[in-house]
Amino acid sequence: MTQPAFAPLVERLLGPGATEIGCDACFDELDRYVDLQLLGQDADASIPGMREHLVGCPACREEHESLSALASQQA
Amino acid sequence: MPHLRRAELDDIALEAADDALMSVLRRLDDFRGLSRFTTWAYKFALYEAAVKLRRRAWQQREVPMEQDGWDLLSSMSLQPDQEVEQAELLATIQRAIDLVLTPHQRRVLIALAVNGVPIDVLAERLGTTRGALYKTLHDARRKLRRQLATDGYSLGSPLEASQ
Repeated sequence: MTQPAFAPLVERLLGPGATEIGCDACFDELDRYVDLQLLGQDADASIPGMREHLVGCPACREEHESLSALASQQA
Repeated sequence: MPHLRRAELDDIALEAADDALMSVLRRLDDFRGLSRFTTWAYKFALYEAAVKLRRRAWQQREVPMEQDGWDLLSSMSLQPDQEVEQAELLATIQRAIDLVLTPHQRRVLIALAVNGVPIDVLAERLGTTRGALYKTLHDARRKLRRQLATDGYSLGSPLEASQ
């Protein structure tokens, strides 16, 4: 097995170390979060714990990136 | 997904579109108008496609054993070219994993964080959900951070670097 880089490995092991929402709440709020970001509004203040969750969860982070890319084409 | 043939990708896309349409119709009453309808609807399609692609990519693969990840952690902390502080931190994390995590927390943490198994793939193999697994991961991480603080480590958040 290939050795992972040290810093990302420790980050994956220890997580964001801050209060975060879970995957279900992330999915429920993801569209609002993305649209707030695209409008240039403070999405992090509107949905506390979302940014932290996206740091801690690679799957939700990937879906956030995909939805942001797709929704920005509709803006 | 370079390893997938075009026909397989088309199948996954069609299946994801069907499942997403069903999800959108089932949850139409949940739409609160707090985002654009298109953004709301797209998230179902992207979710279905992402989960299917992750599971398809791992369909023929065995999920690495917990021991593989454990051995990898051990070998990293023993490598002569590893910085001393980094090696110490890894060794301390390993001790904390042994000391404070339940067998289930340990298995989930090693699979997701060390072996790089996608959470949807692990959820399918263990017969659970992404949300439930992430809760286990979150609890494990919190216990590890608490133990590391007890051991004298002052750990920041990766978010601090970007603020």
